[in-house]
Amino acid sequence: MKDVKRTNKTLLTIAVLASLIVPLFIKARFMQHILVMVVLYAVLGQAWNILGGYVGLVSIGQAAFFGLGSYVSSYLLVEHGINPWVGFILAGLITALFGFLIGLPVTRLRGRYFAIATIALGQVMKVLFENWERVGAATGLMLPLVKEGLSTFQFHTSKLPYYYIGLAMLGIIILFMRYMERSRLGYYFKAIREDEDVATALGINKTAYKLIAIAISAGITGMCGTFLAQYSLYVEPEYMFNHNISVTIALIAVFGGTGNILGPILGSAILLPISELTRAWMGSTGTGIDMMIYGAFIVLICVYQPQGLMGVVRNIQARARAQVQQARRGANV
Amino acid sequence: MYLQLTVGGLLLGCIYGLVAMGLSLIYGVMGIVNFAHGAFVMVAMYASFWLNRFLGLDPVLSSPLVALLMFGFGVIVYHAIIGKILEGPFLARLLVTFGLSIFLINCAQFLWSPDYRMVENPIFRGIIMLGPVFVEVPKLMASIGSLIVAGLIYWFVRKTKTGLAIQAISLDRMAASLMGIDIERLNGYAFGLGCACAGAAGGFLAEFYYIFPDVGTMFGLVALVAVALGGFGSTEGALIGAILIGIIETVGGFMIGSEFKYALVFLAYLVIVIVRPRGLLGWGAD
Repeated sequence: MKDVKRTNKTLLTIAVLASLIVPLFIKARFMQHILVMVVLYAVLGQAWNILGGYVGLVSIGQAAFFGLGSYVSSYLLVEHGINPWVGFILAGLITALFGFLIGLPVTRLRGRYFAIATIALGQVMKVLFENWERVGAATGLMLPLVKEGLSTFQFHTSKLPYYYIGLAMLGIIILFMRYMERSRLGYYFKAIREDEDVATALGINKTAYKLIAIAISAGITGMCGTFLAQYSLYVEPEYMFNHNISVTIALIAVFGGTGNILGPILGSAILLPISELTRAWMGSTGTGIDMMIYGAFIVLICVYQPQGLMGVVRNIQARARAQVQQARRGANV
Repeated sequence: MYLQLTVGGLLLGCIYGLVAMGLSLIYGVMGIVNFAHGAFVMVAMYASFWLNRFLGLDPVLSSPLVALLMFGFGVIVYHAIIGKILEGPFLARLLVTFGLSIFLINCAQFLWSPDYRMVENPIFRGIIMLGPVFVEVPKLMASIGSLIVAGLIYWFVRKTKTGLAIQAISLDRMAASLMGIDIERLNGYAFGLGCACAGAAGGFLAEFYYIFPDVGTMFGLVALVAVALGGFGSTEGALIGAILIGIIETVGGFMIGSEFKYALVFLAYLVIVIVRPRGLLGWGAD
């Protein structure tokens, strides 16, 4: 067991160092773009994971929070000249509050009724923003181009600063989730996921904890929205509230495996490069072939790998452990 | 004015109802929420379009043929994909049809470009007066056709041996299998039947609606809401829910502006599902 722990620690150190150092040697802008997308979706996947993986509320409408967050900071920046970092925090707070308010009625629903309600929420938000003149309706808002720097949250010469900001977000959320896993909050979340009624019978206020989960998840997702707005320097409903964002986030969780910290990171690290590369390779033709491949890919994952990558890892671990035990038993005899 | 709008909503609701019944049937039998249902409608609309273009068949008249084709398509999809994940985890069952939908929509875009198309010279066109209200003939034909198909489905599920077996599966899969029902084969039939509903609806819609790759998405979502309104697994509930939505969409769209009509439909879903978490006529587990 000690060996396993030590190898795990070594692997973790290597992974952290690699994620910090390797990108410095990547100069191609497109490769940098992929890195940014990987960390962004890893964070989004974690936010989904808190709600879907730990509490068991499957959301396919995360784009509602994502888009709202992107609009909060962009509106404040464009109309009132408020620093995007302030907008970043406010986006988190406002979307968390929004998630809480939406959660009041919606968390009463279970299973697929909740999932469909989140889809409906995503669509409603998109329609509202498409018709809201104040925030530019269907054309959206263009963010002003200013001097690059950490204080303005804009970088033009290289995309790497965005990567490191995203990585910092990911680091913070991982630390939070490690703390959550061992705290009362995490245990309550899992109890609600495993059996709501039993959890209630044991004295857990399920409504309160579901609301906490949806508020945290929405808040983080909203901050990611601000991040993408600052990255692409424009917001429009079709882009920020796109249903494919919601599907991709859920897909990352399925592919990586839910209910653990590593799953969404693995899922994002493998899925996003594939999706961005097919888009770059074939998307420019406008024939939809890249999305065709993407759709087929989703189907294949669901049919052949429904337990996610973490399921595979766990199977291998179990097999290895069984072998070790067998070997030991053999030695004893 | 409101009578006119209500009748319009009713007609629209009947077509939604046909799509929704297929969705509800599939859900009731195998517990799959088919997010690709709208894409199936789209495929059927293209099938009608090409039948019209190359064989000169009118979409309304060719709709039985399209429904039959879609039945076969559905059986193939079931055995190739759906049947393999029925025992899989919740999330995989939920997402697989999303993937299928994205695949089909972009397949259509790849094969037939994103252009808007329309059937030329449909047989049924124009407007007639029914009492005090104007009625568009193609919509009237479509909703009558939808009701006929709905009646056929009802008869099939309630009265034929195969239909009863399908019902048995939806009540208790284990017991049905112990009674000697071939679950795999009948699930395939049920899925095919659901697709056939989408096929018939697509045929009727092709008579008067624009055809483009993304056309089915909204129909699929609205049908989903209708099914949830009626209660998952209840085909009658789906029809009632769909008619309700048709009326909400038309009357509400007139009152607050047509760009918000889908927002209104989804709000109606949220309100009703929160008041009645299992829909109007729903039963069974979550």
